[in-house]
Amino acid sequence: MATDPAATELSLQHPAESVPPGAEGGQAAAGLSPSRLALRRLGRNRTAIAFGVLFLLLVGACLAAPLWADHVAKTKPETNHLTDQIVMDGKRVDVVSTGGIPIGPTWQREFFLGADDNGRDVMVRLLYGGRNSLLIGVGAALMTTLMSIVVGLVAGYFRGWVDGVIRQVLDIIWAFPVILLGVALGVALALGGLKLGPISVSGDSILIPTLVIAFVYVPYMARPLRAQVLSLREKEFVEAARAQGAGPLRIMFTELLPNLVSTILVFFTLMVANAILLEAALSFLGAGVRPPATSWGTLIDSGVDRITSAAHLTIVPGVMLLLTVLSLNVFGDGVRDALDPRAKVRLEH
Amino acid sequence: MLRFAVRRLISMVFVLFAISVLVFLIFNVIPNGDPAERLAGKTPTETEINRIRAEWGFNDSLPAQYVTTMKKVFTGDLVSYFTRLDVLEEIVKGIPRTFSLAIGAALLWMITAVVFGLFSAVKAGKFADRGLTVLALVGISMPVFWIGALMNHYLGFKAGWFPNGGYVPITENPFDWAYHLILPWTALAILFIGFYSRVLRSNVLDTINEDFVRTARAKGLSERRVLLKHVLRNSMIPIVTLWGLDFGAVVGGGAILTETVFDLQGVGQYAADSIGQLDVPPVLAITMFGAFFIVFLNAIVDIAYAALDPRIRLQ
Repeated sequence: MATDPAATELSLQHPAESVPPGAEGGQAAAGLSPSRLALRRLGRNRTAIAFGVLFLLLVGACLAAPLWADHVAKTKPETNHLTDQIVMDGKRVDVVSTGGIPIGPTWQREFFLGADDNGRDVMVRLLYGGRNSLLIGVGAALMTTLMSIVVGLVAGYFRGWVDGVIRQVLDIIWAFPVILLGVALGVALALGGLKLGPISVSGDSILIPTLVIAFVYVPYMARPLRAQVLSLREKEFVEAARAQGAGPLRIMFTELLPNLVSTILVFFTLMVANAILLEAALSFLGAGVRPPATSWGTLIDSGVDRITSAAHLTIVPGVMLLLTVLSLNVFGDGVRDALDPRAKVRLEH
Repeated sequence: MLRFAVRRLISMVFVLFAISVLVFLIFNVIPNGDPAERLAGKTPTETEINRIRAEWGFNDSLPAQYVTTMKKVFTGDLVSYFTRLDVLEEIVKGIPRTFSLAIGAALLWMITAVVFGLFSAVKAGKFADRGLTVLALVGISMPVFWIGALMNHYLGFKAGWFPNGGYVPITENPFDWAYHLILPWTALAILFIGFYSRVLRSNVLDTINEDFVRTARAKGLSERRVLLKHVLRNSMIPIVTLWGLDFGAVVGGGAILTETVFDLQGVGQYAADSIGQLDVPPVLAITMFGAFFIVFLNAIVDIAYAALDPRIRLQ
């Protein structure tokens, strides 16, 4: 399509701020490889680094969920404390009041971020749920990337009818509203699970939302990759490889693929952010992560139902999600500016 | 131009056909098990399942089932598996609500994004620019249903400044219509304001260094005139394209979350409810409707683009 939205987002950087790769750091930069130069540019972007570190901290916190649960909060994510009491400022307080209203953030070891309706520790559930959200986000982004690389390379390299068919299929998926397709696939797959030959996935596995999210984002990444392959394959180095007798597979994976790396890296970071957001949206509509598994999406979903009596159940997982996605977006912007300030990246929700 | 339009039309019909097949397959092939058993409820008897099978044509081959369903879509007698309500009637009921939401939100996000983007570009590198950039990134990092639910709770329920959900037709009371929609419009617009102001900012910064801008300044035009008449107008073309596409996406199902959170009962919410029940006919019709909008607006945008910018027509 002539009006590919991917073609319209341009660099965030002010032209005067961006440093042309050639003019980098005078003498010292002369012998450095492009990837070294990119790393150096990224390192100079303090905001991007700070948010990248924030993301790693959030991931670390979720990975350390069992530590917090066993040694700090001393409870499990699924353990109810309906009739328990805790000590706050020297007074004993119900975890869940007789009216059924759970306690808000206590800022102490137990119920640091409050409790939910069943008296479960929100902090513990948040950390465990985050593991699923992050796993789905990273897993889906990896799958999208792999599929897009294969599709983009094959379509762009072979051109002709192969390209025609692939492009048509991508356009059809692209014409679907992302969320409608995601919800439809999510619900249909969750019903009976997925059986593809020897592979069998049960309906409530978190692999289902991962696969769905990976699938719906393929056109957004495969289309720009294909366009890049189309122009790369006309370059002299491809011709040289062909003259040396390299076959299509060799040209695609050892000649073309390395030239796509910067685009892939830029896309990957932003793709993780979008996959986490889409997981939350699907779970909110009941087509994502299924109970008993939890994620930030399911936590927000159940929180919204109780927002009038216990707003912290909505706010807490939402803020966590926001911080994670924001850190990925800011870091992703930095990666793009460092690798290729003119990269054309835009994703939709 | 005419040949271009005809080609667009043919590809549009093809894409719509493929989408209908895809939706049909998603709901009839992917779920393991018999749809008749799902329809028959929790403790079905053998005769009841057979009756349902015959009624919905589940015994026919898949292509035959597809043809039966599509015939119903076009003749307008498609009924829901579960509620038995007429699908097209329900969609028509939802359309004014969805459109009210989409049009207001689209205007809001366009105007706000132009103001933010232009201001940000003029102040590039300064504190205000950095602040707006951070705000834009926060905007695109929030789930719309989350901020919608919070707005509904704090501004609607607690503060009482806005009505708590609901919809009033514009024909009944235009003021109440807008009043009820302010929160949904804002919630939906936030994400797009983030995207658009960033795109506009970078477009303005690219345009500002062009020769024709220097010429305009050299002619002695005021800075304000240069910015609005020369820079902004040229930076707007890609934004207007995006606007058309995103409007189509919002009408065609993108508003599903906003509608659900604010209980607007539009087409998106109808889709969400039907999908939850695996009610194929409404989902098929709504997805067709949504895809039609997206594909149609794509075509319109392409043609408008060619009409606006003579350089594109030459290619």
